[in-house]
Amino acid sequence: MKTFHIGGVHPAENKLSAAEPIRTAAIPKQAVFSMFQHIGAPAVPVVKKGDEVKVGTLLGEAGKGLSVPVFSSVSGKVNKVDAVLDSSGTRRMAVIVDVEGDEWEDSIDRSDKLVTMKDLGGITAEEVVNRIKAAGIVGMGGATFPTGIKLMPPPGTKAEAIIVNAVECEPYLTADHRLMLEKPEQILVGIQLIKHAVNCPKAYIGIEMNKPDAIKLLTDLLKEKAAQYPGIEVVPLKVKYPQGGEKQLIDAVIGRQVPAPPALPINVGAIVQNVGTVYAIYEAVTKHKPLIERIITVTGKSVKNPSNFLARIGTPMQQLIDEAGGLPEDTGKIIGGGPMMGRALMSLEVPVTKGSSGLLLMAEKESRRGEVSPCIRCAKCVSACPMGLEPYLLASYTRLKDWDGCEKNDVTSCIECGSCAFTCPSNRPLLDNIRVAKQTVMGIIKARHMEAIKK
Amino acid sequence: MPNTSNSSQVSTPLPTREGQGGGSRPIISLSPHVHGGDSVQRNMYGVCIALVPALIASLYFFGLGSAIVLATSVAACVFFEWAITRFILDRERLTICDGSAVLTGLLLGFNLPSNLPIWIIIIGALVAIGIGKMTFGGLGTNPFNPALVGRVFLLISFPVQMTSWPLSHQM
Repeated sequence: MKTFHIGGVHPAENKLSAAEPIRTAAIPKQAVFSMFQHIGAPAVPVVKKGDEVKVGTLLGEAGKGLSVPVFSSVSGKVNKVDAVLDSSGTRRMAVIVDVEGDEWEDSIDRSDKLVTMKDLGGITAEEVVNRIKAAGIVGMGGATFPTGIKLMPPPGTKAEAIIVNAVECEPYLTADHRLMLEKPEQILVGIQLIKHAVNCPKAYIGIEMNKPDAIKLLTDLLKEKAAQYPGIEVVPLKVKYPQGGEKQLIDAVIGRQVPAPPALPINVGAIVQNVGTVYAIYEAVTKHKPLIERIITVTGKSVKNPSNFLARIGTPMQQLIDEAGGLPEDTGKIIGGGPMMGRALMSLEVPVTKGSSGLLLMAEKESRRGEVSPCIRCAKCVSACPMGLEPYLLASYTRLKDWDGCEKNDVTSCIECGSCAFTCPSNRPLLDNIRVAKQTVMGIIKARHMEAIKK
Repeated sequence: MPNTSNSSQVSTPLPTREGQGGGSRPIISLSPHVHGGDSVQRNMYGVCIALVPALIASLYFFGLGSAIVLATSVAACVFFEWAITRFILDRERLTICDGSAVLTGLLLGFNLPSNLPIWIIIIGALVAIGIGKMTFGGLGTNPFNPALVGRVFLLISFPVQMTSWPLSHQM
């Protein structure tokens, strides 16, 4: 069984909502569209208070450089354009829309009918990328990197393998799993579109063995329609966290190692796309539908009905919790995303964004960290680190503010997966320390770079 | 930023939890939010369990003598750990439950002849825990294995007693 080669841990899976079909969440009364739902420059609002918008109306155009546009997922009137608290806990520019009815832009094809490559005729690669860019699609696994940019390999590089990330290695989350079970063929068409866009003959779908139904469904479908979907292969992977990490997945599926930053996956010929992103690409290219909804898992051990929702972007989390049976009494922590890499939220008014893969309600008693004791140098963090780093050493250097030492020991390679802190028997806040070092060292490197340019 | 008219910015209070005076805010911390459940204690007692076969062999070959040496060594190490933390370092938090002192005692005992006088064992335990471990800051900060520090000290100080021992079985 294939898997990545260095490190990794096995958190309890807790996939409570794996058997729950995707439900369409109600349209909210008021929707909040942050202009900062992606990595890069924020989108720039193009609407003002009082404007009428429909589902699919452009709210914010892409900013300068790395950026994507933001679209309305509801119809109604713009209440205001203002800075509001988002999931990162900071105030950021957002467009708030008071919902009236559910009117869609005419350009969007709302039918469920499967559109294949044949139906699209001779669509050019450029057109595919343009439609993806125009739809505001970002990596939906949580990293929210603009997808259009990823599909334009820099000169000198060539895509040799598309790897679809259907690993969903985060505990609790089942959004990607359900999507594969319910929209398998759309995903295959989406993969074809990506292959077409970057002119790459081979695509792999990496799925962990804890989703045998999805593996079987896609394998059978590919066997049955081999002529229609050539060059796509399902790769079952051994269950191990963080297999959904881009570099880990490339290692697991095609056995290539991405060098340390600034090297990118494309430098080893790989383009990784989350399965949710693939589905969004399908909808954007074939149905002209911008990224306005996504699948989000609302779960937790005390949640009455752990569910997978198809929710409009901008829907307040509170509403999804109500639909999943209400906020449990014992809730201590609200996590946007999964328990390993998710972010603790300050309020339930935070809206669903393009990168919201899950909402996890953790009980009070599970929410607190254990007491920290001294490092006993057991080296479990070193065995667990999927990037081959030495977390205990980086943490010590950080506490000594030895940024040189941190840089020499490749702190910038850290993917912040949390395996080190997860495995530490002394409950040491290893990742907290390493994050500080990573930020600082990246700042130092940037400053040095600027200095060099000046000279 | 002014924050007045919009209801969406007023955070909904979570159900108040008892004993947290008005604590209606969710807990905020950085990821990861789950832990594997491993602990220092588990590691230490894990090593102790791994030493059980050696313990059985020692009892088989050296009989009652080895039982007395091991029991004394473990008891003395735990006692010194407790006493030093409590009275000399004046620390509130006691570390005798983490199993590291038991383990040091066990390892030290395995390093001693089965007919060693009890007072020498106690000196060995004092050196192991006191000098080998606590002078360097306690758990996790010792540069050498405390049990071996104890053994080396005894070997230098009591070479005759440390290098002769009886066999209960003819091997």
